[in-house]
Amino acid sequence: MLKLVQIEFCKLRRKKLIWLMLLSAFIMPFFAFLYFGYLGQTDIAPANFYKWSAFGFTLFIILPFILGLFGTMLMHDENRYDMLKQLWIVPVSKMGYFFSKFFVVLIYSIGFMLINALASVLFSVIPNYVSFGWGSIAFLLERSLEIAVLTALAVLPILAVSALQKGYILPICITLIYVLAGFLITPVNSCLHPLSCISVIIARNGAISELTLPQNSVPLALVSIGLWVAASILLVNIKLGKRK
Amino acid sequence: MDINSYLLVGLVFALAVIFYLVLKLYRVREQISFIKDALEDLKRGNLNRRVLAQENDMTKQICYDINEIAISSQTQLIHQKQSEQAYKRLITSLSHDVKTPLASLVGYLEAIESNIVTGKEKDEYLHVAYEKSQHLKHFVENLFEWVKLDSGEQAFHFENTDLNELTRNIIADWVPVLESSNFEYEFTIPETEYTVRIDINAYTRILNNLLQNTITHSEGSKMTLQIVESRQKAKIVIADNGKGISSDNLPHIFERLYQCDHSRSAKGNGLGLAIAKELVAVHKGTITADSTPGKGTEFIISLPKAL
Amino acid sequence: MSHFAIEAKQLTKKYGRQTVVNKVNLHVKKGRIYGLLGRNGAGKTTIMKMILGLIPITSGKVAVFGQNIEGQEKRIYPRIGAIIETPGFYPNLTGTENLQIFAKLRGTAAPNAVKKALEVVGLPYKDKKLFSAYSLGMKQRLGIANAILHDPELLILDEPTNGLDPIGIAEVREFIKKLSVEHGKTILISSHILSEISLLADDIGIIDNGVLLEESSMSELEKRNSKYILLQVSDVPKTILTLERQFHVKDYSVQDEHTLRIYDTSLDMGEINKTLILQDITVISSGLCNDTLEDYFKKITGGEGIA
Repeated sequence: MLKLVQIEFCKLRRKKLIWLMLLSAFIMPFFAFLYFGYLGQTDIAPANFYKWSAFGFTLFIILPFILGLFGTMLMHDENRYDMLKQLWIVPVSKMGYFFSKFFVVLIYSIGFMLINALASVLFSVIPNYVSFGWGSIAFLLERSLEIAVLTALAVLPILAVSALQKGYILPICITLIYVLAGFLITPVNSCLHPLSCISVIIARNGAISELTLPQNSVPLALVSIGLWVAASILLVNIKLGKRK
Repeated sequence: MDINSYLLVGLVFALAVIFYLVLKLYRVREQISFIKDALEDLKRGNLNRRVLAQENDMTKQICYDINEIAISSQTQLIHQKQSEQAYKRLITSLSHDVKTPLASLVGYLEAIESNIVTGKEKDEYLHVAYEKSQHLKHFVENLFEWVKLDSGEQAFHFENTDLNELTRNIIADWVPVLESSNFEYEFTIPETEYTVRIDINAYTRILNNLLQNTITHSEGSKMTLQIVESRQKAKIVIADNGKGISSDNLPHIFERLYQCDHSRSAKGNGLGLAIAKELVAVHKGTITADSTPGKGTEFIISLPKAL
Repeated sequence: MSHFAIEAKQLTKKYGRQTVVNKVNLHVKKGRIYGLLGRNGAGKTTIMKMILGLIPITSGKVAVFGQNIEGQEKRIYPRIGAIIETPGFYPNLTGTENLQIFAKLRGTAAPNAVKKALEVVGLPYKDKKLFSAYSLGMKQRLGIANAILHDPELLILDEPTNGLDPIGIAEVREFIKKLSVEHGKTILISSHILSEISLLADDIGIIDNGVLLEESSMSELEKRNSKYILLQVSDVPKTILTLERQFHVKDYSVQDEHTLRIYDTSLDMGEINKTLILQDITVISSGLCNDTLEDYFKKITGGEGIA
C-alpha cells in the first residue's frame, strides 16, 4: 500500500496545476483579511476570524471542489489512455488502486488545510486583528485537520465516479453539483449531505458561534458520512470488479 | 505532561514499530514463498523462471542471484541445443549436396557406358561428367578443410611477412581470371612495408575465397581491393558493384553451407566464406561484410600488426 | 507439467447476442513463437484479453502455465509480459520514469532492468522527452520495453509492430525472434499481416470471425506451401541426364533414391513425363506444389486474403 501511494506521487510529476490549485487555500483567509480590514475592527475573537477564513466557504465550496478536481485528475490519465489493463496485469489489486488514490487525496487535503490554517494565522495576527495565542492556533490546527480528513472522505463519491469514467467532464460536473447541493441542502437538513455533516462535526459543542445549523447531532453526522463512504466503496468494488 | 501521557506516546510508538515489523515480516514470508516456487520450477527445468524483487526487499540480492544463475544456465543450454541443431542441419544438407551432383554424374556416365551417345556427343558427355566430378571433388575437399578448421586440427605455420607484398603477389595471379570474367579491377596497396604475423597459405586461401566469391556471386563488373593501415591493424577491403546481399541474408553469409540464392544450381558450395572466417579468426583478426542491395558488397578483413 | 504455456479450451466470448470468439482451442507450446493471424476484428485481441483475465470469459477455459489465473494473479502475472492494443503511459512523465513506475510496481529480475529494457528496444535511457511527445513508433517501443522489463517467460504481444516504420518492424521482428531463439521465451503474437507471421512464427493459428480455422506448425504449413515439382521416378541419374540435356534444368535436388525436387515450376510437366517414359524411365508420381501461404490463407478463410 505504501508503495502504491509512493507511486501515485511519482505519477504526479510535472503537473503544475496541482500546485496552482493549492494557492486557492489563500482565498478565504485573504477575503477575511479584507472583510475585517473593511470593518476596521481589531481584537476579533479568533474563532470568528477562522470561521470566515477556514470554516466557511473554504470548507463548503473551495476544498471539496479542489479535491474533486484533484481526484478526477488522478484518475483521468489512466482511464483516458487505457492504462488500467496494464496495471491489472502487474498485478495491482483494484481496491488497492482505489485506496491509494484516496490516500493521495487525503494527503493533498491535509496539505491544503495546513496551508489554509497558516494563511489564516498570518492574515489575522500580522495585521493585528487577532491577538496571538497558542490556544486558538492549536484549536484552528486541530479543526483544520478534522476538516481535511472528513472532506477527503466526503469526496469519495466523486472519486468513485471518476474512477469509473473515461472522460473528465462528467466527474467535474458531478463535483459542481455535489458541492452546490451540499451548500443548498445544509440550511434544510444538515445530516443528509456529507459536506453539511462536516460542518455539524466541526461546530460541535458550539465551538464556532454563528454557525447555525438545523441539526447538530454529531453521531448522526458521522453515521451519515460513514454511509456515503461505504456506498462509494461498494460501488467502486462492484463496478471495477466487473469491468476487469 | 505527566508520566501517563509519556507512557501513552511510548505505547503508540511501540505499536507502530510492531505494526511495521509485522508488515515487513509478512512481506519477507511472501517473498520466500515466491522464491521457493521459483526454485521448484527451476529444478524441474524451466530455466526461464525469474524471481522479482522490490528495490528495498531484504531478499533482493538472493533473487537477483537466482535469476543470474538461471539465465546463465539457460544461455548455455540454448547454445548447446543450437549447435546440435546446426550439426543436424549440416548433415542433412550435406547429404543433399553430395547426392545431387553424384546422381547427375552417374547419369552421364551411364549414358556413355551403355553407348547411348557416340562420337562428338560422347566426348561432350565425358567433359561434362569430368567437370561435375571435379566440382564434387572440390566440394569434398573444402568440406574436409572446414571440418579440420572447425575442430581445430589444422596446424598453422605463422611467420612475420610484409602484408602488402604478399597481397600483391596473390592478386597478380587473379588478374587474368578477373579479365576473363569481364571484371574491371582497381588495387590500392601501399608501397610501404607492413609486417603481420600470418600463415601465408591461410592468408592466400582467405583472399582466394573472397575473390572467388565476388566473381561467382556478385554479378558485378568492377572489383576493388584496398589496404588501409593503422598503427594497430591493417584493413583489407574487397568491394564490388554487384547485386549486393539483402539484409536478411547478410548476418548468415559466414555460416557453413549458407547460400543466398536458395537454388541448388552448381555454383559455389557455401563453404568458401565459412572457411575464410575460420582462417581470419585463427589470425586473431575479424571479417565483416557490408552490403547495399543493388549497389554492391564490401568485405572487410582486419588483421593485427605484428609486434 | 504440461508443455503448453497457454492452453485454451472451447474459449467463447459473447457480447450480448454477438459471438466474438467461438469455441477456440488454442495451444501455445513452451519456448516457441505462436502467431495468431487474422483480419482486424477477427477476435485476436479479445482472445488475448481473455487469456490475461482482463475480460470475463463467457464459456470455456484458459490455463496459463497449467493454472487458472483467477486467484493466482500474484504468482502468474509476474511471469507474463504483455502489450494489448496500443499501450498507454503517463503523458507527463518521460519514458524512463514511466518504466521506473512499472519496475517499482512489479519488482525487477536484475539490477538496471529499466536501462536494459530501453536498450533492447532502442530508446534512450534518462531522456528528457515526455511520453506525450513520443511518436507512435516510440510509444510502441516503450510498450515492448515494459513488457520485457521483468524478463518474463511468456510474452503476449498484440500487434506489436503497429505504427512502426518498415525498419522498425524489421528490428522488432529480429528482436522477438532473438527472445525466442536465444532466450527460450514463449511468445504469443498477433498480427493481420501474413508475411510478418510467416517470418516469425513457429506455430500459427488462423482466426476468422472468431473461429480458429487452423492451428499447425509453420514447418508443416511450409511443406504444404513451397513451390517445386516433386518427381518420383525409377531411375534418378537417368532422369537428371534427361532433364539437364533436354530441358536445361539446373535447379534441382535429389531427395532420396527415387525422389527429385525441381525448383523451376514453369516447366511443362506433360512434356517431361512423356520424354521420361520414352526413355524407359517409370514415373511413379509427379506433382506441382505451388501454393503460397497467401493462397492458402485465402483458401482457408474463403475470403480475399489478407493485406
